[in-house]
Amino acid sequence: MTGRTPPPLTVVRGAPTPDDDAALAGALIARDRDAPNRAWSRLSPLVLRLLRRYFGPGADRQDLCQEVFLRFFSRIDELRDRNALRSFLIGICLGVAQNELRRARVRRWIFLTPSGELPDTPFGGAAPEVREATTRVYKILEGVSAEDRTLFVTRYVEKMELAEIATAIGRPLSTTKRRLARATRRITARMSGDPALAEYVAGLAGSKVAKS
Amino acid sequence: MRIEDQEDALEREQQCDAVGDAIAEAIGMPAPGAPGPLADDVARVLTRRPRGKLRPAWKWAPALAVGVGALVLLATRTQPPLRYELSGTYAARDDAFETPGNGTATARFSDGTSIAVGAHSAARVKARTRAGATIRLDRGRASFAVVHRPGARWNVEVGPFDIAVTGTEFDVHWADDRQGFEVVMKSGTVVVSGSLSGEGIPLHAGQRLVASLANKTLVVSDVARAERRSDATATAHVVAPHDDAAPRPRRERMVAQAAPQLTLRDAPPEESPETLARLRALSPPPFEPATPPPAAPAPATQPTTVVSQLGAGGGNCNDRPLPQIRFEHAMEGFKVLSGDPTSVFKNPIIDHEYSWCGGGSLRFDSSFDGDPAASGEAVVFLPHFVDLRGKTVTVRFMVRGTGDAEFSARILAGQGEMRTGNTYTPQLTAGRWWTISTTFHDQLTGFGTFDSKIHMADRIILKVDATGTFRVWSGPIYIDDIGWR
Repeated sequence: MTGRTPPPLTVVRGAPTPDDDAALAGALIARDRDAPNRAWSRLSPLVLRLLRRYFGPGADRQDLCQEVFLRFFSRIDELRDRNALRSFLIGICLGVAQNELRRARVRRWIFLTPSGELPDTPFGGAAPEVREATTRVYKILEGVSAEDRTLFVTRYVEKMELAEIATAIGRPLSTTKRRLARATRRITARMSGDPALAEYVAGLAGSKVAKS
Repeated sequence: MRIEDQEDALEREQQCDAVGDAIAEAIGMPAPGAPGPLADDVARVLTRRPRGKLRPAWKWAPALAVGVGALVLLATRTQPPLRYELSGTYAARDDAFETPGNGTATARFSDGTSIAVGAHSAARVKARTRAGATIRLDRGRASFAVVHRPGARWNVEVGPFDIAVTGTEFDVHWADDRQGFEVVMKSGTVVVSGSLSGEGIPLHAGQRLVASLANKTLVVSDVARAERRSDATATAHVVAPHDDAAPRPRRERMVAQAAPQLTLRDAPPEESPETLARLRALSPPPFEPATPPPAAPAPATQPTTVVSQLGAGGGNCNDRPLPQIRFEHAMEGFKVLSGDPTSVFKNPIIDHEYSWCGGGSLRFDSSFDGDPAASGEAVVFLPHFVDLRGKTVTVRFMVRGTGDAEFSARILAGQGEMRTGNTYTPQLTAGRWWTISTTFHDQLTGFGTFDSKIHMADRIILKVDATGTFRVWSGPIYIDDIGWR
């Protein structure tokens, strides 16, 4: 043991458990005075991440994050299962995101930008080819429906389970499966229309399969 | 799903999964503090609502309804009745007023309604509410201009008649000595009820109702036509149905005008002798079959046969001889039994929308309520007595509207209360034109226990009975023409 340096200790924050969510839900329903701030500090990073991944490269959407929580607090009495607080919040978040996306499309249709390009906001830490691929994928997502985009982001980016997605979007599991398959087919078809992206994605998929 | 399809789907999922990984790498978790602080307004959304749920509606709705009802009742009770002021030349006592032979008076109500009373008239404001008033015209003439308001209720009592008004303009004349009653509509609608009018006769703009208690007659007519008509004193309940609204220009109207008009009036028409001679040459004389056309080529004045292209009927309707009564307009000389509110057939009118031939038909509103004893009767009074011995009477008609309706029909000839005719045409259906005929032989077959006077028939009756499974139906019935030869 002599001469070996022990690894530095790090503080590991445990993942939130359902019990924690249930307790928070109880506090929110009971209108505890500090419940809103507790919910915000625990769940706002999740909401902000989901919004960032939904809308793609660009500035953080703190305004939408606040709107999500506004609706979340307003509808907290509709929560049936306190353990499903997170899914309840994600459902609200996806609804707000879809509405915003539709509004943005109308705005863009009315006030066309000269280039029609998405604003170029730098990514932090990612390799250039990853950033380029991400930009191209979001261009493709611009052309699909809000629901297809929701399914793609929740399933493939957020890696949510099908049952979670079904709960979040408020549809039966079988319907969710069918629509996810359709969305996947549409998006991959569009990706195959971009040779550079298709080649990159094929490489990614191949290496991932090889690793597994 | 085939294996190839499954493999394709799996490959697509793997590609998306890989893309998702790349996106997750590029767009990771937000930096600590990125969401910023929770806005106070948002936080207050949670705490400003009451802890308990809202009380269910069934708990507070009755109390609310009672409260609203009480307020409405209070407002209703406290609202005063209409006020009125008299102006002009009059002698008034309480709410009754009279005008001299050379003066008129006007009652103006607070809702804007005005009643102008003519000379030598007497009227009385019997009752006033916030919704209207009841006016009694004891004598003379009055012109009413009632302002239309939601829930307005105005009544005018004239002798044994009552006129219900919602908002309209009309004139009323009541001659007590002759027991004559007249209503002339200017706009809107009223319902006249009381003596001779059963449960009520609706009058519309442009119509005139003239009733005589002495003669027990009640005639509803178009104002313009009534000005020219002198035979207002018809038999009780017998009316000359007025023309419907102005007909739209149609091809069939042009066809009808191309054919010679057949006049059934007693009085000679006002055409020139040349025109009369030409008409005689072109059409059969009234009530008599046409003479067969000569074998020689037709003269130049002979009209070419026009093939009708009617939407509702169709067919070559200009074949000779023309039917004697074509119901093209109300001035053909016939009269029709108007029926009362309990009749199966009622509200006769000359209709210009549906016609088998020409531009008009006689329309009744029919309503069969399942009573097996109830028959619909269209009674058409002829301008002359007609000898129908050995003649075949033909009636062309259509029932419109009820697809399941099945009925039988027969033609009766009548003179006074006597009727002849026992030939049924069964299993007729709605929605198409039917032509039925009955031949009246010399050997009379009395319908009932009396003998017929078929040699001097004064009316033709189309009698319709509901048959089949569905005997409760209603809809208009159109009689295009009646002819005999």
